[in-house]
Amino acid sequence: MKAPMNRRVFVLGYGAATPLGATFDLTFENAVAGKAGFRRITRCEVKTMSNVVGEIPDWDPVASGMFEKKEAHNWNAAFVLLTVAVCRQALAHAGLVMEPDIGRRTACLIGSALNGMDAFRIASEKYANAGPLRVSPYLLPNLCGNMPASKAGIDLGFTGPLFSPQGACASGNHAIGMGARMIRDGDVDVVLAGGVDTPLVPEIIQGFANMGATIKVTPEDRAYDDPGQASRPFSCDRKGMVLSEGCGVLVLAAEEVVKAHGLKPRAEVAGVGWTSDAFHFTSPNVETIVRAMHEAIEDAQIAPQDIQYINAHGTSTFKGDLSEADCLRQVFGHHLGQIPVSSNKSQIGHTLGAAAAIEAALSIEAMQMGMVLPTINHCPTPDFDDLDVVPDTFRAHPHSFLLSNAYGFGGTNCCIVFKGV
Amino acid sequence: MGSSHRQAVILGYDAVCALGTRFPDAWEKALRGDSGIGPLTRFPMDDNFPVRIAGEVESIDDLDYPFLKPRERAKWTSPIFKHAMLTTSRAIERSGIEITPDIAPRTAITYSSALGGLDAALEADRRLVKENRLPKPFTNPNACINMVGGKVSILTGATGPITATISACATGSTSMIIGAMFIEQGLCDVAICGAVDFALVPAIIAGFATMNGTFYPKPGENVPAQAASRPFSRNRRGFVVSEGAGAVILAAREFAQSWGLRYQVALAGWGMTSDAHHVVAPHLPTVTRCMELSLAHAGIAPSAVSSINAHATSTQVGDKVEYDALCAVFGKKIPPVTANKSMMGHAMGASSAIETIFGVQGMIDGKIPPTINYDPDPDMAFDCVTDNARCLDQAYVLKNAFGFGGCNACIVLQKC
Repeated sequence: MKAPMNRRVFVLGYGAATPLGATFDLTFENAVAGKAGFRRITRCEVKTMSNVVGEIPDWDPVASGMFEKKEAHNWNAAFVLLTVAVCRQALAHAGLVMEPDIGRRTACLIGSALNGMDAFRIASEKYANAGPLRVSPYLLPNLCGNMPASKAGIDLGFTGPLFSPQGACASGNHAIGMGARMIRDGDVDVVLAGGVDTPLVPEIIQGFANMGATIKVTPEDRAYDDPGQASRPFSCDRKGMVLSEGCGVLVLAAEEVVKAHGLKPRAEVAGVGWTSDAFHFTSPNVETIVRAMHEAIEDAQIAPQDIQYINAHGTSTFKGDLSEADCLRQVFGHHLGQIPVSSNKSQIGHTLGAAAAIEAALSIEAMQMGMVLPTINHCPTPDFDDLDVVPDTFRAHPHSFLLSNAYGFGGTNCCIVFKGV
Repeated sequence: MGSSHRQAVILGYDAVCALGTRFPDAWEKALRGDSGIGPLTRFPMDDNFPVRIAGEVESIDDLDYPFLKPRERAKWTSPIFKHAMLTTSRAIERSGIEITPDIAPRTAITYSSALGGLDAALEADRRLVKENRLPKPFTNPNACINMVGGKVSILTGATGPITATISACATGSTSMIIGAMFIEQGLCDVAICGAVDFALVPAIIAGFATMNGTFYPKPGENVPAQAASRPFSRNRRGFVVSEGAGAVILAAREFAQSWGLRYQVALAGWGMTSDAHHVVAPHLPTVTRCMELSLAHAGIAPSAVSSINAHATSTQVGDKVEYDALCAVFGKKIPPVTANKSMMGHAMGASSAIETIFGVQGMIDGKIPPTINYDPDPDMAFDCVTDNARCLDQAYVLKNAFGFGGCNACIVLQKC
């Protein structure tokens, strides 16, 4: 085998589409403004009180001008074209032009938790009502988890390794972690790493509601009249996550590429920590989460007290937030009080496989501007009085090391340390 | 980030496929050239349903494993879970490794699936739409593809990095490549790799038929099920969808040596490329480059390859592009080629895991199973192992896998 390299890996740019906006810029602007992107569902009808969700405003593939009407009809798994649009955004943001030479050394790793469920639903309906021969020939491509990346490759022209790393709600960090390692070792020079999920279909919404994972917005709840208040990580009245759609993609590149193309790095991928629980299919496991954070910090060759901001997984479930705080206490000890910890899910909700990538992009952008984004909808509780959750408004806070956490169903934990440049 | 450089060896493996649920039996059948294809019986269908045959896996429910207890099966309704766990259990047993608390944090899991537990989502859809009943609480976990790895982690106690990489029909190979990469990168010492797919659900099979991917009889035609899958043959008319699972336990060579674990085959090299070309049609330049990258990564010349375990699904264009790429890489000296899908059909993402296992067993036994139903295509002249198994010592085997969306993954196996 070829000898591995040991190259530095930089983040060159990013793109996103979230309930706060169909572009990264809009998302960031609204995040800084302390807004939330929630509303009562319009994508479909549901019969549950878990009906407050995060929908990407104004996302319409045809109206975007990027896709033909027929294309949008064929790609009826919404995650496909959404990913293509966000990859395009990310490359433009990075200032990288996909020439064939660089294209063959570019990987595309776009994770997802639930993939093309929506297309499967349409096909099942067609099958039941119109017969087997009316099932779309595009069904199988729509169902392949790798198809968002594949379609992006077809439209944008990269031909390196391509697959979809699936780690449920940690998928985005799987992509970043794996992509960074592949660049470091010389397998590729550039990676589009990210995640996508478009889970707003009745069965999925209902499935999460039945698991007790999402908030049921009862008439007494403060989010009943103001859906924007439904997601409240680390608050006294947190009652479950808000399910959202979204996509986030980071462009990672080797130091040599950054120099050769005169590009501007925005952060360095400094460390990756990655564990599985071997415990329970949905409940988190403190020991292995702690190890994932430790490994990321160790991989970055720093100490816990060097971390100056933590982007929490913070889903707003009663137990999940408690357990994450326990893990943070174990890793950071008495330093924890000095480190701002915030959860973008208070504003965006939980975009499942996309969350980690979106949150990494937001955190890096904020680090460059010397600030940290808030945890909105905050209502204090003694459970977290030792945590500085940056309540409600962003804060100026120059920092150069941040830790971005993500944990997923099935017991997968992936934590990444980014270093400022 | 630190870096190290280590090679992955294969400690153990197991597969279930249309040829059988006990791997030694399935291997015997493969050497005999049996077919595992038969009638499609997984769901009721009308006369107008276009596809009638499939490669179904026989029931494993009577085996004595904790995860096959009726209570477990009631929760984890998708067959992907029990088959992933069965193949993992057996592969671990076969490898002789014990995942102790010391080894667990250094054991990664990349077991994956191309299509996952869609049957569970379908059932939820039916309940909700037809009967107006809420989905079962386990619906979403069943439908999360990474939950396969999650269950494998709980089963084995492994707590190293976990992910489920998807690359359509190349998923099994990608899983092994990522496992080997984790080992090479020093992220783990052991990796539990593999893939499972049980895709015989009505909408999926109908979708394959309308996209013209799968074999279906012409009106009035009566083709025996066993003769439908015919890779590289002049009259090939699409693949036969089948079920299956394959698990492969990889370990760093020095880890295997220090624990006295036996291995006979190493994963010497790999390549991954994407086509940026077409949704389902393969693309010669990037398929060719993928094979070349895997040979370069293994540090060998094409002439060192002893045999090729082809992707060959039995579609007109797919088999031709694979042949053209073989010509581009090997020139006039293409080593003997075999296509396991002629016997077991196309088990989607699991196929490349199962076929790699067949390739490994073939290296250990010095045999290559035949490509059955072969009727040479005049446009493709090469040494296709046909009719009977061939005895051949194999130092290096190239395993090809290509997936929808243009995901290519090639692996070079090396006899140790």
